[in-house]
Amino acid sequence: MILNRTIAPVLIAAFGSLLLVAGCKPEPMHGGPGTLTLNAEFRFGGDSVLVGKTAVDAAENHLRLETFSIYLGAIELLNDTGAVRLSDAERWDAGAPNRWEYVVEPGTYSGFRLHLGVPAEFNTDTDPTIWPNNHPLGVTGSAGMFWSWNTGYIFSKFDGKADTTGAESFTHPYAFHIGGDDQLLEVRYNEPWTVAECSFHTFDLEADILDFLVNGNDTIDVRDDHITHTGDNPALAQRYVAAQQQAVTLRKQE
Amino acid sequence: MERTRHRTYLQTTCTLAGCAVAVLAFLAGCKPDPATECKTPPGTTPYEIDIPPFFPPMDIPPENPMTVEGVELGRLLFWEKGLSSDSSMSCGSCHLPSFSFSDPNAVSTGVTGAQGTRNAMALINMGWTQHFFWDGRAATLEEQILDPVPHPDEMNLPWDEAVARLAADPDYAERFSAAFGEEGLNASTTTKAIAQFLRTMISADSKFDRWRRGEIQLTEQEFMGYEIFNREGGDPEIVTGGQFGGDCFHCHGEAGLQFSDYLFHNNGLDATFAADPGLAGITGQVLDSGRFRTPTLRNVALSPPYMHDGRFNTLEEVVEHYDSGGQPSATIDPFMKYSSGGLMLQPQQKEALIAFLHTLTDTAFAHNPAFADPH
Repeated sequence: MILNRTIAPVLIAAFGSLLLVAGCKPEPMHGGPGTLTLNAEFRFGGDSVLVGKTAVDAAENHLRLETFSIYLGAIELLNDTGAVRLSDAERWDAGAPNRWEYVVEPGTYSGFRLHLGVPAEFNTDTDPTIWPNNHPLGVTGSAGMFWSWNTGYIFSKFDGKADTTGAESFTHPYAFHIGGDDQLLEVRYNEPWTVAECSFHTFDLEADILDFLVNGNDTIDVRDDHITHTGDNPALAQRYVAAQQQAVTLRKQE
Repeated sequence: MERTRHRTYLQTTCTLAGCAVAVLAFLAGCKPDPATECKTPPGTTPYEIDIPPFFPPMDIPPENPMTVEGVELGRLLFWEKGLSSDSSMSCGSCHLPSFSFSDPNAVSTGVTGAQGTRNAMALINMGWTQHFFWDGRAATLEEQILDPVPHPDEMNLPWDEAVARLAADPDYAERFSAAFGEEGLNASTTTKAIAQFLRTMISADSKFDRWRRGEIQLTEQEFMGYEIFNREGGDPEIVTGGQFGGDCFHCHGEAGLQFSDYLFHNNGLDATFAADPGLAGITGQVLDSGRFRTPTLRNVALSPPYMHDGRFNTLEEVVEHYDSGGQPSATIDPFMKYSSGGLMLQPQQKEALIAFLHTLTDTAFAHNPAFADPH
């Protein structure tokens, strides 16, 4: 009896400590959801996408990168009943961390998709102040990627200067600013896959952004076609988006 | 018997203690992260900020919640000349209300007669501002406020001396206690109080704001200027996509009615950067040379001179600069039309653009008695 009375407070304290540890810890390893990791694996002429890097494009211009930003919008799992939204939007900038993790309910999925750009539900007649400031679509978080006057958000921004003379003189500006609901590009992984409890899955979104200037026989030469904000030069924007569609792949790591 | 009673007492105490530990452990383990809380100090009155229409939410640092006591104290401190070595200057000496809390001189003169190297930026809607100073060397408003008091070219007073002066004043000692409780009076709470005051300095009643709210109309000329502001620059025969516009929106976008992207750009003022490297002076990156933080255009007509060094005295000079396309350099922004003959704006377009910029003037802000010197 005395032993029990002595042990009782110890047991209670131990129980309390267990509560402390268990009360707020992440989901247990058994019976929990899966994790989906999305990597944005962009390259610039085969190299890292970093401001200041130079590379030679298909038209043999030397391009120096000054800005590369892109929205990945409406990131969704696909199943028999439709789509499960994982994220409304993420934004990736040159040199920034390129990995996002999402909690995924166990089950069988028919595919996975995302969009290069911002879905129309947030892009048309939108107001960025509805988002918290640091949200990728918020006033601050959009970091210059919102067109108040035009078509909502700039879906992707690729600009810098080119050396068109071969004299290492980067003086010729180029800027591809793509936006507008019509330019939203779906990228899809179409294989069925299963998320087991507590399992991990990784998708890589891959592209070399220099390939955004080449689509089969159509090469965008920045000496001639160097600026589009979509609305002011829709033809060039469409050529860029068509090339983008060919250049981007979504691959599931095995 | 004595021993048994003592053991029983101990057992009871330990059992209660065990229960207490259990409950406390549970509660402590699950309480929100203190960093995400925004609690005002005990005894203070929370200060509610009214966010104007079309503005984004204001992010208040959790470690410096707004209180009525803090804002009142911050106003006193902003205008406190005792924060300079010879007690001749306050923050307000270089941030004059009638100039939208900026300095009408190209560069400011400190208490020793030394001159700074950059124009004092207008203090306006600071609660939404990102990256402080022209070169962005301060990440937060509180951090920015730490700089001018001890700076030898500005107020030239070491913080420990500044704190000692404030502590010697019973009224300040009482006000700090009321605003910050146990945190008391120190350099950190001084900057926090001033930051709270600055966050209340909101301008949202310009002609443009009233137009956005549907209360009034812009004149034809002002609206034309607004359209030019938001159009691509350049002759479409020379610049793909050119719209003969002002190309202002790229950096001074209307999102959240801030008229600044709060990012860093080289707008072609200089071809070389030995005089002032701008952001490169902080990052050490060559590609940041000549890049400065975009100022807001709110109250721009009230806050000459312009640019980081105050080189332009009028809006006409500013518009002429952008119209010229700027000076080419390795880091000039791609949207400056330096390679294609400039913007090529016609005289009436320039006038319209300037007329639009005047619609961003909020004289009620500049003359708001709540921001005036209370001493």
